[in-house]
Amino acid sequence: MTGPSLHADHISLELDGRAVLSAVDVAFDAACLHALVGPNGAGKSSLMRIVAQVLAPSNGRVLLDGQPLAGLDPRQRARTVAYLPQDRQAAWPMPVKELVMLGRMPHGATVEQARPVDWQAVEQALERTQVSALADRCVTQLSGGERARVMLARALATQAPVLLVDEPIAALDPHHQWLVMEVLQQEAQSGCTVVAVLHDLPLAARFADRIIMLDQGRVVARGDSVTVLTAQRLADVFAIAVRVDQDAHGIRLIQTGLVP
Amino acid sequence: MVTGRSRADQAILSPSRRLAGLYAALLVMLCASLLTGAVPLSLAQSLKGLWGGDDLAATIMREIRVPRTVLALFVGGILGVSGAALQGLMRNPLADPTVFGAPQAAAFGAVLVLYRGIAGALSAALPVAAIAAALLSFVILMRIVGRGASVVALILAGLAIGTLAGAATSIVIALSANPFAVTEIVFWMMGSFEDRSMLHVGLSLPFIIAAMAMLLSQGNGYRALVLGEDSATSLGIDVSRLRWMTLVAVAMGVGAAVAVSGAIGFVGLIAPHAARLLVGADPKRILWPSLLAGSLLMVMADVLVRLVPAQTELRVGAVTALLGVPLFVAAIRRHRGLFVEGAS
Repeated sequence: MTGPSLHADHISLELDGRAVLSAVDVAFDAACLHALVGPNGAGKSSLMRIVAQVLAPSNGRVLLDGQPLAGLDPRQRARTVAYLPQDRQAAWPMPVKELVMLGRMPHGATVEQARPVDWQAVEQALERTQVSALADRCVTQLSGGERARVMLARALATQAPVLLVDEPIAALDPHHQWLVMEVLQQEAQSGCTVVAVLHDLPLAARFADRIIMLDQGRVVARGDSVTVLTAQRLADVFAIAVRVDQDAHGIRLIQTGLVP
Repeated sequence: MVTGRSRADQAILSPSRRLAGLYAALLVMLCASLLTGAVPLSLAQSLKGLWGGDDLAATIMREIRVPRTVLALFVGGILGVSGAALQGLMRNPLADPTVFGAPQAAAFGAVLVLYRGIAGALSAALPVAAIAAALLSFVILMRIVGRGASVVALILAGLAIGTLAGAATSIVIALSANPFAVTEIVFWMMGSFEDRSMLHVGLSLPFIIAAMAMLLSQGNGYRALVLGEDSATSLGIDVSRLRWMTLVAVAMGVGAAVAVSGAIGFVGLIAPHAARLLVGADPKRILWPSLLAGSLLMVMADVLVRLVPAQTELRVGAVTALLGVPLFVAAIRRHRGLFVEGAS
């Protein structure tokens, strides 16, 4: 399977007169893990929400294989684009497996009317994020990290060719951070178009095929980790002092301090 | 090994048995309602009267007890399912038509057309005015608090709307030439099924049934909203359509109910809580049990007011408020986290 290509075509967003995004033009390719990085308030989540079509841009449009994504029937769009927002709260105490089954909703499945293929997708998603043991637990009783993995499983269960995840590893311990990055990498290797907002630059450098750096609502750099994550750029954009070493696995970032 | 059908079926089996208990209780209460009244009728007389005849028993059954029971059944049902739907929509266990001031506003709408002489007590204008007023109250509520409002803002705005509508209702009645104004005020504030006829049933049931159907069909939307509005949208749910559909249906159902029974509060709060005890918290799965629980509660309260010896009949709304307010307070205490700054 090769997923579709996504194109955020000159996206601008203004909120209360403030420019959140200014003519952001990015293409996301199939079979590629994209890391969207940038300091707090750079506009990463807003861009993700616009690409996921849950927020309308002030200007510009999102294209899926050249066609406007907004023109798609909502359910077809939901089958094509799976989106995991930053908010990982569940409003009601529901069993984990029923929550993950929500990911099958675009396929017309509900807990009451699930085909074996739907339960299979749920089971597989739970296994991949290592939460199978929690399947019958109540989601509101889980730890933040466990809940984050359950929510990722919900997005994976859709088996959509496009996967957009906003800070998927924020609440996780190092083991599960690595695990989730591997899952995202596998998704990309299987042909999906994967976009992840990440704050962990070393992990982004290690796993992402392409890095897009946003700052103050604009794309300031894009390309592979070697091109984007230079000491000078990290000093300029993040105001951090970083030593960049290169080895067989790519680059390694070691933060040494702040740039005053 | 996860999920699979067997385990899912097992999980559903036990709540379905509990649901059967709810049906049984409702059936018993419906019978009790048909057998309770000022005139003592034997079981045989009641049954015979139900199926026809021209004697007193038949008249009492057909013109007093059946309409009263049917109204309590449907009014309770729509209030219960409205509460469940609003709670699903707002992702909040404290949501209820009463808390948002909708029944009070609907009562004001009905009273306005009735006491300004615009329409008679059995005119279709009555439910229409009540529905319009309930809808208007929702629009005002949404205007005051905006989208993604906190619970505190919703409850405070609802309190303001409900209080204002209650005050306006009593003013309109007091200014009318009706000599029974005081008892009428109590009726519109507290609600009752006393002296209702089949005409009242015909007036309200079409709206109530349509509203029930609308709310029961939105279960997938409320279930997706468990994950928040962004996730629900990304799963293919049109959240703003869901919001309007819910508010219009609740206004229609509550408005029609209030037009024939007066404002009866807190059923929409109690019924979903009871439903959750039976079938769990899933906002789709609680819709139908909430409807049943609302019906059961209302029919039960209406039997109770007929059994308590009192000078004038107790108001059914007083009974539901007696049950509902402590639950509301308990829910506030349990969900204190919702009121912490920054939470919603």
